Amino acid sequence: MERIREALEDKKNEYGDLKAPSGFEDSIREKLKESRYKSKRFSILRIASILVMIVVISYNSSTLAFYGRTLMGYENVMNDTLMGLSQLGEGQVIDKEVIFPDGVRLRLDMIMLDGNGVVIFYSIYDPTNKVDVENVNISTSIKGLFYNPGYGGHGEYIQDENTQKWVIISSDSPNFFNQKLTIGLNYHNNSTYYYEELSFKLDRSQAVGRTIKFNVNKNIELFGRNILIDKISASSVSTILRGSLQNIGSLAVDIFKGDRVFYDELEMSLFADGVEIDRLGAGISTNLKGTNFSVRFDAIPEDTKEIWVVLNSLNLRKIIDFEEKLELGEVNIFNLDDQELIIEEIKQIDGQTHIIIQTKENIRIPGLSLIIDGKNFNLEDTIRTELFIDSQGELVKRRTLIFNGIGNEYRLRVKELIFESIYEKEVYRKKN
Amino acid sequence: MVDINLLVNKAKSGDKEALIQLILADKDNYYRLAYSFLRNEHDSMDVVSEMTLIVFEKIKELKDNEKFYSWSKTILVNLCKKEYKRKNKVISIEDVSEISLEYVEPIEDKLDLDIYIDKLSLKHQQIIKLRYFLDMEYSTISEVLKIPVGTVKSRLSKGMESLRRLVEGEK
Repeated sequence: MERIREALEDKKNEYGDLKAPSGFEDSIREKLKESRYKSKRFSILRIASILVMIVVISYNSSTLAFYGRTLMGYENVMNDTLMGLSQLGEGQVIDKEVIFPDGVRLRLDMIMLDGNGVVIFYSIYDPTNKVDVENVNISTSIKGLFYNPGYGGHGEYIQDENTQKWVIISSDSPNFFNQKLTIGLNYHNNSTYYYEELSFKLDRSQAVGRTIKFNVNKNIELFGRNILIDKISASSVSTILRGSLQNIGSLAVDIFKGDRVFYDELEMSLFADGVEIDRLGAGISTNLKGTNFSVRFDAIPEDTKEIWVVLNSLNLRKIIDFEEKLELGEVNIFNLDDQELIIEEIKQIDGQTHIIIQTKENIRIPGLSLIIDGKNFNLEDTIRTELFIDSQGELVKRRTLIFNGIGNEYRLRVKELIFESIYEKEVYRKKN
Repeated sequence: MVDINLLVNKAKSGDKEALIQLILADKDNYYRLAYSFLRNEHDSMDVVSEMTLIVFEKIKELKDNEKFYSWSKTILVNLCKKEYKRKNKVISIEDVSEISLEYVEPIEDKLDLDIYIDKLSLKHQQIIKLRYFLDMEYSTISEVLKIPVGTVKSRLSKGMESLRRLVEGEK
């Protein structure tokens, strides 16, 4: 990481020295000549709409004041969408708390329920100020009838109030049979552990807006495998993109062959009328239905005319068990799961072994070690990474791996391969 | 020191000179921002000029005059992303080959960061460049990218982790 910090510092200095070219002013002046814009008068319609807004805001002022008070202090952990909904008075006030044996309290202020999940607003505080709440760590679990979702969110410690404020969003919505939910609270402070639960009734009449779901049903081939983008679910709070990385049939084939395959680093972007929607989180899970993913984004604006989805990247990780003897003074070529690994050279320098390897540009080998005279040496460092085009026109990555040891007999051991894919392509587009 | 409020009001009434003054007052930062994405003078100046035109035609939509610089830089970042994606779509093997020549013999002790940054997703490239190359505060990045400060921090942390994994390679 130190090398990265130094390189970033160099970049900062380099950009700090960078000056706009001498033709800057001429260039923008010239471009402005293309403008055919003419100033418009303030329209009566706009004035009328402002007057209507004033009336609406006045009418709701008591509601705004109430919610403003209820959700005070959450400003930094809410995004603009949640802030807007809370200001409109959306959500169900809970206002229940648990008191832990050391006096610290957790108060569940509010929830927002919709078809994509539950947003939970809670505060952790100590009214007696005896406990430094900054160090308190409470991990939560959300439980209902056949409902135990994952969640993500943001928290902030407010020093002046010795309070933590949290907003978490569950990965899924509780089905209709769930009339109440329970939050499990695992409390940890220094060496103190407690467990408490807090239950509350779900009032579905206070659910936020409505949720629109539509099928995408788009297949993409990556790593020789089929990836399905299944559907999009859009609500006032968030937008969820769901799909499958591997169906149960393909998963069964992998298990039968003894392959252990995992996916990670799934990066997707959602655009609404050209504006990128903020990504809130993503999850990949494997169960009896196969390996599925969901990516959660912020809500799409109501008047959106067109949306599109870009698949940026995905990694596939394979667990393997490979060990082979290395011939010193020769080029060693191995086949790892149909991928060529070339060891160009093995050098002994100052008590270290340097091996120069090349693979396809998108292959990483995290579980690589050397067995030197029977002793295992893990990788110490990677230097001199370079890319070039090989004779077949393939983009190839060459790098030097360093191990802290030398000897006479060398064996190469590999336990894991990562296939990286930078896809960066639009995979779905829909007009309203 | 320019009077932002006054100049923005003038630009809103169609005064091109006022807009030119506003942009010239921060011209190095506009250029650096564009250059951090596109890495050549010609393309960077093209997007800065394009931004100037869009800003002039849309400036009436700017509600808070004091936010002129973050607002115009948001437009610039979006134009840079569009241009970056357009160029990446048409990249040919010959282009890759030329680019790769720059990296055939890197200096051993010095890390050539561009080669790794290019491999990150665009949103991670963007956040690292704004924070570290251009030394922007979290709050400024939040305004330019229109995302909450918490998201800036988490996206930056994820981007740096991806960068670390790329640089350290197999380690």
